[in-house]
Amino acid sequence: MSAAACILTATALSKRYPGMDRAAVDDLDIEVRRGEILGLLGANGAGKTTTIAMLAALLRPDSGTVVINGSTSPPRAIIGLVPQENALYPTLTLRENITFFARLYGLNGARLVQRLQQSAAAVALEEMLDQRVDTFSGGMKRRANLALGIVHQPQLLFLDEPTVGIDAQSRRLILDHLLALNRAGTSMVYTTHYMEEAQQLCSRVVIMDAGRAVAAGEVAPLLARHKCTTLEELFITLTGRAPRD
Amino acid sequence: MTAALIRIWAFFLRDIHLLRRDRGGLAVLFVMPVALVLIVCLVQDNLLKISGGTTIKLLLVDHDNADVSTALRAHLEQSGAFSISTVGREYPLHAARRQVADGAFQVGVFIPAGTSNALQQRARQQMVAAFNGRTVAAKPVEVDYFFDPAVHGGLRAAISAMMRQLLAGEQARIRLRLMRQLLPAQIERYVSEQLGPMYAQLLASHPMPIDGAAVAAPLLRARLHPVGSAHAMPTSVEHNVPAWSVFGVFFLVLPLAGMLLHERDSGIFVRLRAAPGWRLEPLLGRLMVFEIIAVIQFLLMIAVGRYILPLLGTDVFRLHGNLAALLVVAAAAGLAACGFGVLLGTVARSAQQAIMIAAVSIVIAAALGGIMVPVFMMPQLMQHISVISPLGWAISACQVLLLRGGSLCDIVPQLTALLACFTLCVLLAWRCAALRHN
Repeated sequence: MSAAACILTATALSKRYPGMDRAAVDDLDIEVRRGEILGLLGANGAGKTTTIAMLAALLRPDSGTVVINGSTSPPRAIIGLVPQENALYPTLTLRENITFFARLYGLNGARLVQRLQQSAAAVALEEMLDQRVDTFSGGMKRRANLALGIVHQPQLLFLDEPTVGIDAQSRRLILDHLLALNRAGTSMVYTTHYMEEAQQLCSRVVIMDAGRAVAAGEVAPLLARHKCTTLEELFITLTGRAPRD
Repeated sequence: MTAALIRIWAFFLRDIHLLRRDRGGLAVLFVMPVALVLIVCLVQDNLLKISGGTTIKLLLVDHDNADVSTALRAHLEQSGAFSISTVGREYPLHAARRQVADGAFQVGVFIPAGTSNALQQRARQQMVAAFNGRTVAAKPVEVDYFFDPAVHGGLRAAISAMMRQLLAGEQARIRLRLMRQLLPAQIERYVSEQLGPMYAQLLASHPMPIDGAAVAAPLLRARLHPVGSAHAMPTSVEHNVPAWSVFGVFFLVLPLAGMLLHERDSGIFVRLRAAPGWRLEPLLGRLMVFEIIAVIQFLLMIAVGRYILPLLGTDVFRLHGNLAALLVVAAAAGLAACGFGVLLGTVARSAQQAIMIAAVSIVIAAALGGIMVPVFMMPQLMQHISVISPLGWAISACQVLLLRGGSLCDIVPQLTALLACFTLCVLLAWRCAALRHN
């Protein structure tokens, strides 16, 4: 795959935390092609969050390189992050939260107002803009968490389990919007425990176990190669039935 | 507007929104220091009254109403140390003692009826006996005085010394007057006995001139020179308003560290680190907010000292034209507090731990810095240790401005130390954060 076709290329990434007996991520290679959604699948403790942290320049790898858009110094303005936790200021309103994060990406004036409305509408929270976030339900907080990550229309979006603990309606809404963003050209790295979600959303997946990639590729060929019909079946085949953490 | 300025503005507005919704934090920042200043000033104002720091209330029970009591009262008034209430014979000694014991007065002085006459008689007896080469053992005339039990030992000793001095002066005055009256007749008698009546008559026709007033004029006097400034010694208000204002400014540490810890625990910090300009702009935006709060806090405390405390009976807080320099001290103290808050918010493991460490370390630094007990009253070892307290540097700068007549140039060392404290704390926090994230 040519460098121009990939928005992100990570080579031989490794990270070991002090006091741990094994590496959290061990010699991992990842490519994210422009306009694709790459699924990063793994059990708890497989190294997904550490991988995302290194890809998004939040954590320095012990070894290996990350190149985003042709640059080794992270172009933060084109990166979006939706962390696993609801990273919101609970005592601020949704408008104040989105406005704050939009300004961090240099948005101001009419552009900011437009993006604010767009991102709130995308997660069906435009009616809640002036409500404090601590009054929101769990699903609304998840959707608000997504709105903050997309307000600056990033080219590359990292999503770390963005649908954990929410109802089917909110999950459906989030997934639909992510597909719409992807169709508009946003590349994504998506981690999840929900295999059917990954199968529905991702064009390619990397399956991780104990910090290493045990399989990677487009979903259909991978399933065919391992004679599986679903990603969950493939995942169990590759990582085993025993709890991994 | 450049992207960096937009980001700084975003951080500034975010903290304003966060603080205005945090009633507990606002109470810590504004209500707590005001309450502390009000309470401590009023408590210490009373303490100064019983330790001599302000005018002492004296009850003079004058059953004599003659020369001695008039002279004693005049001397007490001249001293300027007392606010004197005089009562007469209708007021019994036991009532006066009860009033003083109840704290209505700090000192009571009782001059029994006939004191002046008795003193005159005893002095005359002594003088006549002395001229005749004899000694009379007469019991001295007594003037009683008594203290409020709360009055401190040092003040008791000072007032006792003053009473002894006043009574000794009064005795000397009476003796001198009697000497002037009796000495010519005594010399005449002595000359007549030794040399014959003719010489005595000759002496009587040329009376010896004695100017009593000239002899009574003071020969030796102690002069008190104010040191360092033209102002009087600090009042309770002059000490406490700046001291507790500095204490309040350092409580900025609590909400600041709390905000950082919440961001760290909730994942917001991760999101902030993923955004552009995450190194410097968050710090600058936050500093702007907390510096403004430090200055507003200080102004509020000055307003309390100038306008509210006097209504409650204390002295007015005087600025001596140093408002701008005081606000510079507030800003520098605010910076040091912010530095400590950033460090604590970075290294603490939890909000509870941060609150505990902040509260305890601020109180210790306040004690070392001389907020509760002035540094010069501490043991030598503690005086040496006190130089490490950032609160002490800020208080010292306020004292230079308010009590020693200093200017901004005179507090450069204190301001530099506060700035260095801020820089060191931020660098340490930066290092700790870098270690954690790498």
